[in-house]
Amino acid sequence: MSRAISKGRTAMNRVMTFGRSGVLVLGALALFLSIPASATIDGLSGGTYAFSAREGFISTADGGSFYCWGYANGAGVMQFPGPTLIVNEGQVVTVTLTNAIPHALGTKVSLVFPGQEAVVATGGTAGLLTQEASTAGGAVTYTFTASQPGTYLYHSGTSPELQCEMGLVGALVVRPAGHPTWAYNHSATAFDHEYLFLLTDMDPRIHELMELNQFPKITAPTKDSSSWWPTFWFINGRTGPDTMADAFVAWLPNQPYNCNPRSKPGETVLARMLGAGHDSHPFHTHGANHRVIARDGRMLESTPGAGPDLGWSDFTATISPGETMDALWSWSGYGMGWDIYGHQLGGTNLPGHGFDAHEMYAQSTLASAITPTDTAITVPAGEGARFPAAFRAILYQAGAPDPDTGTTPEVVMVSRTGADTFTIGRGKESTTALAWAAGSILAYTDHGRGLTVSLPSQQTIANGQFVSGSPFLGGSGELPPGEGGFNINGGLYFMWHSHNEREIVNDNTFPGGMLTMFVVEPPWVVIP
Amino acid sequence: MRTLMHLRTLGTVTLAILALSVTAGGTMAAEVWLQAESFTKTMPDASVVTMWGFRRMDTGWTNLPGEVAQVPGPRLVVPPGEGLTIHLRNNLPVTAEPISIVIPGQVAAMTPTKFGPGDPNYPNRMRSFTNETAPAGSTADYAWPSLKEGTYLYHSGTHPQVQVQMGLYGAVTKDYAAGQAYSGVSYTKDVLLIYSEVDPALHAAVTGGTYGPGLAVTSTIAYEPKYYLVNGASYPDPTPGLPVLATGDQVLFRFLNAGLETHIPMLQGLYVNLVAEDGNKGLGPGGTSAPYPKTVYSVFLPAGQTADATLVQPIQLGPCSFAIYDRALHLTNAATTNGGMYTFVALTAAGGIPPRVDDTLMVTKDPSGNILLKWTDLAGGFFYKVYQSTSVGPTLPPFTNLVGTSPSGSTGLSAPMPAANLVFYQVAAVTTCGTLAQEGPQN
Repeated sequence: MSRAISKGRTAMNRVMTFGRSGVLVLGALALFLSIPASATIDGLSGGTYAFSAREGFISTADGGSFYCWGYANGAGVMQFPGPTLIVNEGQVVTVTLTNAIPHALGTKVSLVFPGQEAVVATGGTAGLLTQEASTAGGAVTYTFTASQPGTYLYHSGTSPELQCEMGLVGALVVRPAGHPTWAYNHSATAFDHEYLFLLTDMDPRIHELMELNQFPKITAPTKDSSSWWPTFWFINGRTGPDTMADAFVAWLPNQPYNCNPRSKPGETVLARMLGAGHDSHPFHTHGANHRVIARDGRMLESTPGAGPDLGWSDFTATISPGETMDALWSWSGYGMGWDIYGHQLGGTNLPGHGFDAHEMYAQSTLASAITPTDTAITVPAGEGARFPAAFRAILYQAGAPDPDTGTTPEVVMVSRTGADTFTIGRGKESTTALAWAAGSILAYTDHGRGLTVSLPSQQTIANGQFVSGSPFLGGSGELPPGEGGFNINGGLYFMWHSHNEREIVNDNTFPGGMLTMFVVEPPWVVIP
Repeated sequence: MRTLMHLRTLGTVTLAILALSVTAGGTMAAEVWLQAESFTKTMPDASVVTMWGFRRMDTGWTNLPGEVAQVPGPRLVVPPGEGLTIHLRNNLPVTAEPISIVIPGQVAAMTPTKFGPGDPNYPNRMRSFTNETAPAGSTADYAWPSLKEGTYLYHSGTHPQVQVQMGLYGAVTKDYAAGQAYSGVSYTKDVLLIYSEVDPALHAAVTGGTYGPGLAVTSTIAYEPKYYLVNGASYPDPTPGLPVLATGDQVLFRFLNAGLETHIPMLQGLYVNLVAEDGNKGLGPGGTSAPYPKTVYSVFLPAGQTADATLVQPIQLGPCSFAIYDRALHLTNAATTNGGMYTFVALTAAGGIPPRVDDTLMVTKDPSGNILLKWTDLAGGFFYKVYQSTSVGPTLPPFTNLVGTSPSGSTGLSAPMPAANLVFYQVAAVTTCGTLAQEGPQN
């Protein structure tokens, strides 16, 4: 579901207490307007495309530069990966491919679209898998109807072991008809932000030998596709930490896409993961489990209309070559055991006012029908064990868990009296005496709960570039001169990476490779 | 016990199953005699590699005409309701090792065999997962009185990192019932694909006596295969053992990985429902017995894994073939491209060109102001292409100006209102196989 960021009294206060930068003020105003979060993937829409297979060079974050091939958009420059095509369900997709690769092993190139049925290829000459475009001239036109929503791969069907390695890969995103913020034709696949994770691996020696026109090398030390050995790993065509630079930066002209996933607590993120290389990669979504909802462009659905009920929850997804996998991810402060906003500390540089709905975590809901006069509840047998002896909870109207509907939730104190029985104390933190409606939902919150550890002193720790100086979301604190600085919003950074640890390096230098940081931003940040 | 005789297809000989009758004892077990031999195999780039393989023999170890040592070994098809007994004979060269047979995933009484306490390299270490068949012509039996249905690998359980790589592996399948691989999984033809690799340096060292502790190749740690096989062949050699598919066939794919690296068969233009892994049928929600299909076009096969999948699309008219290739990109013969793990499965049927779309194309205007072109869907999984022309001169259709395509099962296409006053439309049914399209006459 799409959920606008918290507004109302909270946002008003932020306008008054956060005069730090114009950006934040604008962000608060945006909250008032309930602009739905909508970070989407960079790519080309329209349905009709002209690709030109070209050669060029890509950069790795250790300063390396490697000869590669890629699909260019029309008369543009070679790009790795190729343009992400974004179309709607039922749209006819036409890609016309010409070949501008002068290399002896690239005189023929092609396109295959795994998962697309009835792709018709016309023109060019017949190859093993499809029609191929020649450097000598002529074009091949590939036409198909993107009849099913999902995340798909495309790549060269000509000597794929070499041409995919050289960079002739890309992604195709098909949106469900009428629902651009759903992944598939079911509301349970709705998202607030979506990000692409196109995973590849590279053997630089092959690229060096290709540049020198000495591939395959049959004299010792030999190198051919059967002795492929990667030492670089990429997400969306970039090695870490270039993954976190902006998209379309001028200094990476052949690697336009980045991987900079961000969300706010409680928002749903769609991760479109694709395996476009030779190896499988265990992609780890640190910070919370994700829920896999689809594989190979097909929702994991038991019967039509059921939604992704055959999906599963995990923290690492094995993305194998050719496979695509879609997963939904969400983070909230639930279960941390302390208030991620630091409300109990108050102060002017922390959001120390009122209640923030993003501390809730829907799955922890005790769905109990509560009458306005209840002072005690009994939860279903066995459920009581998941709650501590005393905790703060939120009461809000059933069916309207989102405070943006105008229902102000009430925070109450709950104390255990038995295995599954609790008393409810009202009026602890709310400022108005409310009578909660029948059927209200009780949910657990750490609002106002302090940090459970003592932080070490400044002189005893080394800070990374992403440290804000404060453990609280949106907070900042003192840092030694020259430290930190990359975390202007005080977000929480979680490393999303291949959990095959040797893959998070650039030629044996950490950090690098198949690595990026997911940033959970405080609620007032506008994520483009 | 009755003898089970199977003539495993090598591309031309079709699979034959002899009828069996119940014995007085009541328990039936398929029985096969397999002899391990050394032989040479010529790869498509003309290099010759020495392999070890199983050869089907007759009762009493007499030769069966037409049977040779092969990689993979003969496919064993165990009839529903039966167990399996394998009589094994070790005809590997005298300097070679003992061998054995295991079937991962099948329960059997196993008696592991160890090196002796005086062995110079591996005293008291395990040598075989079960009882052994000694070198130089010795025989031994391996029995699975009750065999679980499904698709499995059989391979040597002795020094497996060498012996399986040398070629001592094959497929064994058993159905739940006639025409049902598992309960509720029906099929009319199965396509069995075993993926494996060959490291020629390792083969040369093993057969040349330079493999082992203190020798030129001490272990398989530097394993680097150069050849990639599907049912024992590398492209451009055709994949053996494939049936020819026809209209109406319900196709079951049985994928097995007898290699040491991960392979990912990817089907071009087709989807399959993954119904079982490692011989275990997936369960529906709540553990129900309904098949649990994951609809995929790529099947993840790490070493030793098997997977069963049914084809989703109905078989369309041919003649054509569709490609299944390893997306882990083992697609060379050593350094030569266009080799390795490509398989092309043929579809054929009577006819070949789709029929004419029956009724006249209807053109109406839809509420948004576009025109709506409607026809009656032809059963058979065709998709449709709609063409337009603004002039019909002395030459009648086919028109060449494509308005759009419509997916299979559809009965209409919406198109923008044309600017011209008089426009003609035609629709044609199309069938595809991979990326080859066959188009019927326009109507």
